Amino acid sequence: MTFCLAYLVTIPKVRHNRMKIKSNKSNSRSMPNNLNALTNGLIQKDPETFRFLYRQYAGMITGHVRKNNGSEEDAKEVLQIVMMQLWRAVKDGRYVEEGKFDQYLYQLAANTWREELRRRRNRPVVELDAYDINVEDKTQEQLLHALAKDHYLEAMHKGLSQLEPPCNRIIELFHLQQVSLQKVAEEMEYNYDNLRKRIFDCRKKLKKIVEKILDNSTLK
Amino acid sequence: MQGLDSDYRLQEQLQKLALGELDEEETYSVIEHHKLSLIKEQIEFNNKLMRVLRNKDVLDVKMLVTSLIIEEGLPKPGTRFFSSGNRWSVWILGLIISTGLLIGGSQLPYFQKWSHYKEYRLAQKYLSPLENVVFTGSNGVSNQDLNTGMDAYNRQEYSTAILHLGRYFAASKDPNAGLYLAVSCLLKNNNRQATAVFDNIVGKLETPALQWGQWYQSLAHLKEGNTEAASEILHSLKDDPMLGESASKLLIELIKN
Repeated sequence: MTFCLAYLVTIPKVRHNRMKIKSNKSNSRSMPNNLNALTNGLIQKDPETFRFLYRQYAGMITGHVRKNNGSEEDAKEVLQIVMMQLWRAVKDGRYVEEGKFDQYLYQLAANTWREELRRRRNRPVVELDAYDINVEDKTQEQLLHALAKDHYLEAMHKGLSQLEPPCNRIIELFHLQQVSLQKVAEEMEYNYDNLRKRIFDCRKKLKKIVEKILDNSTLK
Repeated sequence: MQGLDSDYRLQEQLQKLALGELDEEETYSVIEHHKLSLIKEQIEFNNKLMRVLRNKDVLDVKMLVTSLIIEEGLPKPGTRFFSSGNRWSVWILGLIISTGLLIGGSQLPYFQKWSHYKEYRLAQKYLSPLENVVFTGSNGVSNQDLNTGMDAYNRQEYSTAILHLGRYFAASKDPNAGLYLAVSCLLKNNNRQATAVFDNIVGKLETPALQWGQWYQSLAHLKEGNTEAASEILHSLKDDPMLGESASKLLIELIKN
């Protein structure tokens, strides 16, 4: 009896699942399948996914900026901002698929460029790279703009990846996780005074790397 | 301006300090000022460091895009999604597209650029440059473009290769040159152009260039999202001693997709 009841309860479920699988198969080239893979690649910051998106959409984004009186440099910047916005939206689950991915990207590009033009009209004298934004006080969108424009931050980010252990660990613990010096010293088995000196040396090293990156590149 | 003035004054004072020309009070004031500017610099550095560490993920994305811009180059003007909208022809085209979309609205997702993402990735996985092993005879056309094009191809400078091989192919109609032209287009991601050249030459190629041509043609179709055409060609290659294994593997992966 129990068996029969269980059978009766499970049958519709199984049939339902079967139907689901069948309907997925009939759409083997279906949109969610491809889009899920794409968004997963985005979340994982997979370079090939970004290459695909670049090849598919960079023309549209830069074309929009150029068409609306933007320079080559503006086009590059908008492209970076749009990709950062897209990544963030997908990662935070703010991007909801309704079969309008292309349209969504176009809107991001159009809004970003419109916002930039508006900003320039309001601050016509300020050079693009000259204005500095206090990250804590601004919205997500403005933060992305700031991150896209500040070449020193870009060089520092690159520099941090070149910083060798234990400097990278010390900096991460102390500056990012805001672990007290005393605790960092305990964790890394350093003498407290030595660690203080070490942090100073690490920051100096990082500064040198950043300056070298800026000197060797066109970022400055 | 004030900043510059004070900076200049500080420099002047520092110079005097080094020469021992400052009295005790002036020496103290310069040292204090110097300390302050050092602290300010440290605070600024700290702030930047915090921003970078807090936004590492976003900056990773920025770095990815920057390296893509360097590697792939910024798309040239003209590759626009929507072209300038003042001409009548554009409006008429827009009207036709809108009507088409209204009629076939349910098919809209299939026209989207991302709809063949998986197929594109699969093709990229199997795509590698064709070795420069196909010989081509003299056909009365100057070989200069062919040589320059193939040299560029060997150096993996595909834009230059496309330019010279394209010129040579247009003059000679040599299918072997066409094969390398099409492969260069494919490697440069000019997939539509690659498909057009493949369609033109594949029937004229001889073994083993023929099989290589078919293999790359299937990859071109795949990158364009034309799975059916790609599968058809791959099926015909399944028993080929050289490419059969890769074709079968790709087919299996396509089915799994």
